[in-house]
Amino acid sequence: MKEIVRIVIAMLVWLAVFSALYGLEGVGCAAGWHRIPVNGATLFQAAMTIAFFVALLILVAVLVALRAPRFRSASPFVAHISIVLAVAALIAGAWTLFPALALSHCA
Amino acid sequence: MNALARHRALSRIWSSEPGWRGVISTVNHSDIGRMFLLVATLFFLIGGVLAMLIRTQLATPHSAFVAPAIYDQIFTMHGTVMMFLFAIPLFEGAAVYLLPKLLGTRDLAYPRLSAYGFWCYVFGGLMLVFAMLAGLAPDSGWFMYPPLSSSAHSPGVNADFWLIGVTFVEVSAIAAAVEICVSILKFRAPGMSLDLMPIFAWYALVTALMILMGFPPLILGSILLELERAFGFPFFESALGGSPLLWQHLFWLFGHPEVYIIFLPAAGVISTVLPVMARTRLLGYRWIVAAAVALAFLSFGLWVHHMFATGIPHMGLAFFSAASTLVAVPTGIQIFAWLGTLWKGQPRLTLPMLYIIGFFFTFVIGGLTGVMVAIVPFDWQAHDTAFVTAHLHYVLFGGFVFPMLAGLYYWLPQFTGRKRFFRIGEMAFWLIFLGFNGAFLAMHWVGLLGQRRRIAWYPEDAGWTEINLMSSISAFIMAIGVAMVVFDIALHALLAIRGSRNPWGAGTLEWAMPTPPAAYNFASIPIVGDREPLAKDPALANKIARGEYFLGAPRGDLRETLTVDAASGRPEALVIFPGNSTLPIALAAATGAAFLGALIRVYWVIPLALLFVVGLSLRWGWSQRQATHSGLQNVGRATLLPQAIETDRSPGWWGSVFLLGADTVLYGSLFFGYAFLWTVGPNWPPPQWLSLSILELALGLIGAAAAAVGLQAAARAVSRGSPPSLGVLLALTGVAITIAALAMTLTRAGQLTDYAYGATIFVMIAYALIHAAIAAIMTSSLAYRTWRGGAARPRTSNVNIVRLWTDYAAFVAATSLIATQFSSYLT
Ligand code: HEM
Ligand SMILES: [Cu+2]
Repeated sequence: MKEIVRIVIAMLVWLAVFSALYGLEGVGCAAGWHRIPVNGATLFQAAMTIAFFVALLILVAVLVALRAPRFRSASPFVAHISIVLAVAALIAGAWTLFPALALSHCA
Repeated sequence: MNALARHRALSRIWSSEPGWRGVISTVNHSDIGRMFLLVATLFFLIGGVLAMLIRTQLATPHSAFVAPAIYDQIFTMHGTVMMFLFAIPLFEGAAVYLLPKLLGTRDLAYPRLSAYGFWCYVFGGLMLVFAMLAGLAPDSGWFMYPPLSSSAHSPGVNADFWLIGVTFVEVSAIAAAVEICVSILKFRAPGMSLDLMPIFAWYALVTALMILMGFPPLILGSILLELERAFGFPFFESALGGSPLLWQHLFWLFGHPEVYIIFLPAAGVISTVLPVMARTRLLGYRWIVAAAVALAFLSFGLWVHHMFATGIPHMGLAFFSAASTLVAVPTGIQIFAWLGTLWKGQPRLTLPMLYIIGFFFTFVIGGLTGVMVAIVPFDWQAHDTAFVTAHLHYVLFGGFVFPMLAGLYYWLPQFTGRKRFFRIGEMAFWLIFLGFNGAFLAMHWVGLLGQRRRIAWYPEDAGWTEINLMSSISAFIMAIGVAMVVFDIALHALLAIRGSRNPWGAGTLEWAMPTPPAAYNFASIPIVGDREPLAKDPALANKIARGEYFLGAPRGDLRETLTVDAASGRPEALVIFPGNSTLPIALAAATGAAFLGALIRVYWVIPLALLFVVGLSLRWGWSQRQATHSGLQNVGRATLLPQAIETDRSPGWWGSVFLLGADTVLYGSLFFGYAFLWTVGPNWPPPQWLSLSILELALGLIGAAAAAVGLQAAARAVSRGSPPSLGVLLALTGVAITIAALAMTLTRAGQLTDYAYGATIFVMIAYALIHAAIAAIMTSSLAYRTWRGGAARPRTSNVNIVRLWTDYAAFVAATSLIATQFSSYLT
């Protein structure tokens, strides 16, 4: 069972941060954050930018953890798949969440 | 004991009853699998006839064939039948039939559950067939968008048939998914570690996990929409604080993963068949497993691409557009792995190979048009046109029907033990392939010319007439091809001559048995040390038959197999399966009665039926078979193993874990709905909030904690060997207090038809209440066992299962109370 967790965890975390940013966008737009100025930008832009980097940081942490001796699988097969998927999750995070930097408005 | 005597003894133990009784009482996976495949094929033919009706209607402008009201029913039922009654059940049937044979074991984890799932499917399917024959079929499209499907715009019973019938069928999908997960993880041949599993098992595992994650949102959506239709709870009504977009979210949270739930098993078939046809091994096994897992998860981040035209903010669209383009990558990895396998091997152009080539051609086109509609501006143009229907058929037909036909012809000799003799299949392939492409290439074209989907009539001067006619003629050519396949298979099953055991020279275990397979699959359970055990040791089949491996000595009338450690494949325990039983069909009938009561709105039937469900379930749980003596059992090869039900984590515990996983997704979706209406829904806040009641909250939390602590104590007592009376008593009291607290909150949910807020609170608390009731029933049964003592006394495995369910109920009670009681403070 632990091996299955190692295999699915990275993509599961991607799904969680992806949903979280999508949810944050919904909440931010509903609460009118895009109308609150912060340092030349808006609160909404600030929140989405920070969230983007936090999300990537989490995905990097998962990758590092899966490579660390403490969490790494003893089976080379599972270790390989789990690390490939952690890299994939990181790339997926950067690619799918990139709009958080580029398009932070509520139209 | 020689091989023949062993075969006779095992056949007597494992066989189903003779005649028609065998049909209703069999729990054998080969029987159930064959029945699943047969019924799913029948539904494919029904869906196909409906497709021909569609194409007949569209062949000419202003067709006089049927009126729009009937046409609406036809295309809705075509989509519904194909998705819910054909594609998913066909996967389930293939998995149920094949998995134990591929994994080197004698049956699936829960034989009676397979039968229960099958009968739920049949009864649910019959409901929909009845609706169609009575002219009352659903008619709001296969995705049932409200407000079109709400009672104001669909007053009749039509939409209810969809909501209730499909949900009933989904019960069977969930049952099958739980079964598949546990079987793959625990019921394998000794030595088969995760990296030695046949690739189809990986795909089936990923697919089953996706069903557990993907179906609950739709089940929830259907329940909510049915509550709206039947009682006026306004979840999807904007004026009353609901939102029709909530349905779209819940539906596509299911609907997009569904597409991959359909594609992945087909990819599993290709990954199995293609290397054999190329006389080599699969290239990039590890990459394929990783790609399948990545695909599964990515597909849960795509659902909004079906809602690009609903006015969602641009950033949200961009997220989902990016994710939608990304799925092409893992799909591409698989395709390149297959091409590499072909390159490496020496392909032979057999009939299965022909269908695989058909798959490549069609699926790649479908994938490319998929990337096109993933781009938002393009989708705004193509949305709801025939271009989209053409795209989805390239993916579904190309990505599912072609591979499944390849699989059909590949495993046919395994099924029947006969040699392919008639050569109708090749001609059928060409008719299907050319017919399909003619029909749907044309639909891309009219779609780009502006023809909308789901229209019964179109104007003569639109310039679509010739294209549609061509499409319809091609569709009929394809239909002739499908009919020829059916004819070919029927001839084969009845007339073809007996063939050799492993005609393709395959290396997986399903070919290491006499064909057609015996009910017990393996006379002794082999030890596996290679991904293709049969290729490594061609004498394996004989050694298995001679009983050289595990469980080669039949005992009494016990149906025995082994469980293994999920990761390493080390043998762990001896499982004794239940025998033939009519309990599954009875339980399915009782479940069906509850659904029927909801459908015909005779609500007193529901509690009555549920009473039967509970009673039969308790009987089910109590009638576990076990060995004549407890303690370690001799499983052959000088190995002693405990019985599975005497271990801490019995198969029932594993099944509960997966089922509760699906349940958690349903609960999460409910929270999503609550948050969605709150933030995005129009007409929020509600006129009145639920006020905070410290009493209800405190009682609920204390009760939940007591239930959890009580069972923890009970588990500790049982593992010490003493009766768990005190813990069980504490748990029962805790559950009772929780139920009281939840009931008090429920009565304060307010006027449920006035506003979506109150209705949502009601559903959340009711959900918690139902789980508390389940916990109460299970804890009571534990109490009864404790009180009876002796042989009935609870074991660790019993307590652990009850603990899982009760802990979950406690968690749900606590979170739902907190989320609702504090809502007035959260504004
Ligand atoms: C046997 C060959 C098939 C033909 C000729 C065919 C034809 C069609 C046509 C013409 C439509 C469009 C109806 C309209 O927009 O008015 C349609 C819709 C659809 N088809 Fe098929 N189809 C076939 C097989 C399948 C299969 C195998 C699946 C799924 C596994 C499938 C799933 C669907 C779905 C989901 C819809 C959408 C229904 C809706 O709009 O509510 N079809 N089909
Ligand atoms: Cu989709």
